[in-house]
Amino acid sequence: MKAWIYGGCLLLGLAIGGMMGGASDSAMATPGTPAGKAAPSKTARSPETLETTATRMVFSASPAMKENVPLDQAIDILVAERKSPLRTRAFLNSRIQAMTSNQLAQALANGEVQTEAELRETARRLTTEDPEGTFAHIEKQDFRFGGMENMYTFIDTMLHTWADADAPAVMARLQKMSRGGSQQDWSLRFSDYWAKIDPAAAAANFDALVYLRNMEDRGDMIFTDRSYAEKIVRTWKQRDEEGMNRYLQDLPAGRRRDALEKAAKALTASKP
Amino acid sequence: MAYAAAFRICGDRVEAQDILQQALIVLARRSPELGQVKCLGAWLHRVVVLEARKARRKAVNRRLRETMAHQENEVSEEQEGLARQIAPELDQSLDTMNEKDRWVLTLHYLEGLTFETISRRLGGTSEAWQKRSVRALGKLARKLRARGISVSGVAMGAYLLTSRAEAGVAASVLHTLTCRALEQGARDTAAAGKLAVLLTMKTGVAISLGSGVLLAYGWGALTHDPLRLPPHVGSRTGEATESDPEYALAARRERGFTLEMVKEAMNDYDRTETPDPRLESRLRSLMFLVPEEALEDVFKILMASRDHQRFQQIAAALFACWAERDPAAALARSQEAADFSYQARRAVMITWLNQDIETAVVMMLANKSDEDKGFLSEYVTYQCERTPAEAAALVDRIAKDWPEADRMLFERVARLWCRSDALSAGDWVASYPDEQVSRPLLRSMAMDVAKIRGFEGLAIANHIGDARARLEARNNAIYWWAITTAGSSIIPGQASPVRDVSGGFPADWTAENIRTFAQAAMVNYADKFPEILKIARDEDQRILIYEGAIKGAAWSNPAAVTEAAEHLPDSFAQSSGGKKTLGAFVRRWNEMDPVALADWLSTQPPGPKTVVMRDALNKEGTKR
Repeated sequence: MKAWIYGGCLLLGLAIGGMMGGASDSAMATPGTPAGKAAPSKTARSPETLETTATRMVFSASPAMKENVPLDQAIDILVAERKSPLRTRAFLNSRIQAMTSNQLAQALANGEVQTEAELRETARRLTTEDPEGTFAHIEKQDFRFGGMENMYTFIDTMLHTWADADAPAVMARLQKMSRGGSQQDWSLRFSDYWAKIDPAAAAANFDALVYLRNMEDRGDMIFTDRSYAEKIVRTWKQRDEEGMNRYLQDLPAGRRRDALEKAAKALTASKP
Repeated sequence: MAYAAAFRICGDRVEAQDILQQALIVLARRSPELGQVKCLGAWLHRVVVLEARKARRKAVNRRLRETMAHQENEVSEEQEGLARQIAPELDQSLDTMNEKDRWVLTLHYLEGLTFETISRRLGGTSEAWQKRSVRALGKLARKLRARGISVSGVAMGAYLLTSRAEAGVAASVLHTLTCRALEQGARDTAAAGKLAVLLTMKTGVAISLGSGVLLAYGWGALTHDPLRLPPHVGSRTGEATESDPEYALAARRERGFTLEMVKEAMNDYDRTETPDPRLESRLRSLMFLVPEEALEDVFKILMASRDHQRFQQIAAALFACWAERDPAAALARSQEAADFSYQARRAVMITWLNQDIETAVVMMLANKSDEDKGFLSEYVTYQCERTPAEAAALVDRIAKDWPEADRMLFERVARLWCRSDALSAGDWVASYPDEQVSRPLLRSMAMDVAKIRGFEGLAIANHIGDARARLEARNNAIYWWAITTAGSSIIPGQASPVRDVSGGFPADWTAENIRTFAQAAMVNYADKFPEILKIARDEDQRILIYEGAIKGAAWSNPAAVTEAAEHLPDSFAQSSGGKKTLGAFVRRWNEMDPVALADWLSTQPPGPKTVVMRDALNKEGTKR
């Protein structure tokens, strides 16, 4: 008897509360809905609810997932939990996905991101959303990476992500940099990658790229035509040897043709 | 221990004594065989369980349990109720466990031995036994859950510990409980009038109001998307702890996990044209919330996905979660995971290494596959992020049995370790028995470390035994140090102590070292040329700086080092290196600012240097 009465009261309370909750819910911003705009009404088991629930569950799974816990401390917490390393990576990735660009940039400026996987993901996110801005941050040394390796991890990911989307824009931005070590360094990384993903485009911009790469470490003025031509030819030959040969035949005589032809011949001689 | 086990099963002191007596008779009868028994406690426990099972079938005190079942609302009685549920099933479940799990649970929890004592008695390390005990508790809890008793591994451990201490008083506790239960039953009967119904209704109204308010106002908090919280980036306050009310809520929310949720998330991810990193990330994390009983079902959903390639990392996450609970079972399942088997095994082995390194390493050493080598590499990389010394210890552990893996992992760990503790990493590498391996690695590490931590890089180079190789490594380290951080190494008061040369070049630096530093510094810090000159102790060092600076600035900023060109002795222009450097200097300047070069050159007195520079320019003009 008592159990029936308690059960009935509980159900009644839940029903009333549910109605009140639903009313206030419609006035609150929900994920994916601009603040202040009413979300479309939904049933308790609609996909949107499930997505929200799943996200909430993920973000409640560890103290490391709290938004006000800095990323470096989040790593410490997750590592100390001594669960799977894949869990650490997955949870940190979810943290990064949930952060805005400004938050990510601030975290980098605070030196909170110093692990390889998270640096890559952060660089990918920021570059996808604002390549020019990310480039400018790096150029101005706004971020604290805690080591050269970390810095290059970030720069490589940034250059590759941007090159995948718009390689000519990357080259144009590199050309705007002041002449010096950073320009050469980044140009070498970018041009090597471009030669891999699009050798024809790299060949078309050969002179400009060689100028950017034109710095021998020890200070001597040695132009690096040949070494770069070899990189281009190696990939191009693997992908489209006929196309490469046609391109070389149509090239006007000059430095670019010399370098690319010599590189092609050298490659053929080494790998008949 | 044996008496406690018997008592737990039958719940009666006299009967437990009978069972124990019976077990001791068996012990006496089989004493000739006992020499082969490794753990007498576990053996005796099994005998007691068998005897107790027989006894239990004869006498079960049903009345007590039925009365107890009504005591649901009081926390202390809930705990006691759990104990009552566990007690009859515990020993039978324990008996079905594998040998080592039974040993550790029996010896530690029931006999009260420390892990140290267990390791001395049965071999292995105390840490390994400790970890095994945690896993064994989890398995025991699962077995009990399969018998319909909801209990966690932690609660299981607490129960076992208390049951040992309370075996002697269990009977009195049960007696008290029985009395309380009977009293409660009597009260319920007496209160079955109208007044009681009214009182109950009153409580019911309170419940309905409470639940309504909780649902209405708690809803906002529960559905509050973390993405919409105001940003607190950089804030170091408000660290979360497991005792936070939020995490208490989270624990309840986890029960909201449904397969429908996983299906939906997988469908979302599966139907996008290109893989969406945000959806992938959510799915990967969600896999770690899959309850044990749903692992197989989630795997089936995964297998039904359209594009298995896209789901590789999701599968890895699922198997990592599986391995967190039961690595052996996860490993066995990974072998039948078809397209996902590689990622599944990877996830299992990496997780296993993190949770029970001894067992995982033994398994890997038995296999020694290239795949496992890769997994080990991934694991040590992870370890190096926070505990590189432990990663080094792991590499040392496998070095003898698996030299191929050792070579690869040794270098990996050394390079990662030197990012956080360069000197320890250097010492570790220097201790490697094969100099053909350690020397190039030390040279390379010296260079990497010097870029950031100057002198520490040189300290690493100093480990190189061969004098010539050591000098080369030091010079190379100085080159990269200057190219990277010379600007912040030469300003008094600004330089980090590990790379502060603002007070002058160290006494053990050679002329070549000073020249190299100046040259490399010009690559990025040509504007700091005057500051570098101030470091020079005497005229000889100034000349070395001039030589280096003009060479380095030749391709970065020649105009910044005209003073070097002006003050270099004429003899510099007569050496082949000097000619080459001066030529490069004017060619680059000409490329950048021919007017400024022409102006400057017109002011230079005639002499060997000017001749060399003009010749270089003329040759360049002819070439073009």
